[in-house]
Formats: sequence, C-alpha cells, structure tokens
Amino acid sequence: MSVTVSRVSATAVALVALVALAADVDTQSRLRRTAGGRPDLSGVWCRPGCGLELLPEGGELVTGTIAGNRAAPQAPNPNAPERPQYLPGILENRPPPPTNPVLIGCMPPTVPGVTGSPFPFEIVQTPTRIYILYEIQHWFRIIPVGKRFEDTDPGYMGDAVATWDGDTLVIDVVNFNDQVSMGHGATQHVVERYTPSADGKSIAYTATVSNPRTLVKPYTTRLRLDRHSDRVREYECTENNQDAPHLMPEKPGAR
Amino acid sequence: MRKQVSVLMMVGVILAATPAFAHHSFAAEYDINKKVTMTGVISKIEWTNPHTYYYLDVTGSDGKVVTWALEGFPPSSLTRIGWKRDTIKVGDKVTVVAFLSHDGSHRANGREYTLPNGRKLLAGASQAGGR
Repeated sequence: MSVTVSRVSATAVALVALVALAADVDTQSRLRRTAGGRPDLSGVWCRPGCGLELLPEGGELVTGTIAGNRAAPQAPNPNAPERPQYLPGILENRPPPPTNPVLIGCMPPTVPGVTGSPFPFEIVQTPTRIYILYEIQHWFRIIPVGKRFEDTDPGYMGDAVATWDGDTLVIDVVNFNDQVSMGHGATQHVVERYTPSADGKSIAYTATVSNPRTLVKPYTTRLRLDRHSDRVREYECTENNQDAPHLMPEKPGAR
Repeated sequence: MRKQVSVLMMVGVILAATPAFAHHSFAAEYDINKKVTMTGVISKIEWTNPHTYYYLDVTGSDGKVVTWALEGFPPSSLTRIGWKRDTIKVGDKVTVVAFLSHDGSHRANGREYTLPNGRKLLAGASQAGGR
C-alpha cells in the first residue's frame, strides 16, 4: 500500500512540476523589444478572427446548418466604439457617392477605417519609419518617426507622424483630402494609439477622430488586433469588381 | 436603385464610426431572408478579387438550365480557411446554400458548398459583414 501511495505522490509531484513549468513558460512569453528598448510591433496583425470569426475552426462546417454558424445575439458591449455625432446638415449635404471614398468603387480606405479591415496588415518598424502594409487594396502607409514629412499634399491616408508614449505607439494624422470626412478632410484630425499587450500577442488599438466642421465632439473607436499567423497576400480590388455596376449610382468602377 | 444608394450611404456612416469594413456589406447586395439551396454543375470559376465567383448551371424542372453567379470570399480569405484554387473544379456537381441578391438577378452569395465528396465548406460572407 505504501508503495502505491508513494507512486501516487510522486505522480502528483510530477504533475505539479509540469504545471508549474508550463506556467513558467507562459509567463516567459513577453513583448519583444527593439535594441532601443521600444516595443517591437513588427509582424502581421489583424482584427480578431480576421473577419472570419463567424466561421468554425478551419472554415469547414462540422454540423449542418448555416443558422448554427451565425453569431449568437450579443449583449450590449460596454466597450463598443462610440458613434460619431454629426453637426446638423452634414449627412444631408455630404457629397454623394462615388465622391466619397466608397470601397465598392475600390477607392482608398482612410484612417482609421483601414485598420478594421477584415484582412491582415503587416507593420515594419524601424527607428525612423513605421511602414504599414495592408492587404486590402494593397494600401500602405510610410510614417516618419518624430517629424512629419514636409512636402506633402492632402491625401486619403493623411499626413502622419509617429511618436512613442511609453510603450504606446502614437500616430497623429492630419492633412486629409476633400474626399475624406464628407468633404471636410482638411479639418479632420485622427490620433491612433497602438498599445501592445504584455505578452506581445495583441494590440489595443484606439483612434480618436475630431473634426470641428463635421462632428459635435470627437469620438474614439477601439479595436483589438491579434498577431496573425498568415502573411499579407495579394488583393487587387479592380480585378473583377462585379459589384460596382450594381451598387454604385454613377460611373461604376470609374474611381 | 434609390434604396441601394441609401444602403450605400449608410455603409459610409458606419465606416466612419467603426474600423470594420470590407469591399461591400452583405446587406448592400444580398437578402439574408432569401436563403436557397441549389444543386448544379460548376461551369466556370473566377478565382479573383475582390470576390471569387463560381458559376453554377442549375437545371430546372422544365429542363431549362440557368447559370447562377455565386459570389464568395476573395482568394486570400478562402486560402486562409483551407480552400485551394482547385478545391472545386469545372464539371463538379455541388450543392450550394446561397442568399439571393436584392435585384432578382441570377446572382447570389454562395455561403456553404457541399463538395462532390460530401465535404462542406464555407465560402461566402456572413450576415454580419461582407468582403
């Protein structure tokens, strides 16, 4: 009997040791840092599930029906993004599509919308530049660290500068063109914040949008970004854009 | 058309509010309440962006063949959930659960495919968002 007890005890000790070892390994998963001590955000990122969160594992139906694969109704999310409150007349008098950067026409996504794309993007971080390579529509951003580019024109993605606030990468964006923010891109200001988790596996992303010409007050949108196992792949919006004739009111595909 | 434009403008509002979008929303083009199941033979495949299209020849009870254009995720997304360019081939007989378009044309969002070997795969946008 005593031998049996001893064996059981030894097994228990071994199991405890294994659990402790596993916990230790887990806690050793830490945010990578650059030689300069900054968090290293380089890598491929995407919103949770990368837009496929409603699909079961591997995308293959395990059990039957489509209804079974729909997301269950969600309770109100206290962390849901704020809704913009527009000034009177802004929505009514906005330029009609396709003047707006409507994606159906393969127009460029702007900031912060591009971050929430259901396609991954890759951050390439250097001490002097942050490069963000988006799968959707092959867009990219080249963001200087510390000082804005001086010879810029207003653009869809604006004019950005990156700074560090502790472990948070802050990207300040101004100088949007008049196709953005309902014709008032010039007065739009976006502050993006990328805060990595302690284990480096996710980023808490926020973007605060202000525009005194369109908004009653600034609003902040939030999103978690996860490290993504796949690479950024090819996505050419104009290749076979059959939606434009159906969904755009004029000159489909012209923009 | 007026209704579609309104939907489109609403999409624009949502884009401004939340960083979550795709090429177009499901609701802009397809009706979640018009779910159908169709069986036919694949006659053409467009493994393209921003959407893949599988063309399905469906023979009706009157013997007439109607070709349906079934829109799906783009190649990159299908690849990530296990599809390959040749997962389905021209000539394959498949059954597809799809959602019809609002405009009454022979276009649909191909949501669930049952392959010749019985395997089921998802290929189309969820009701929550499009691609």
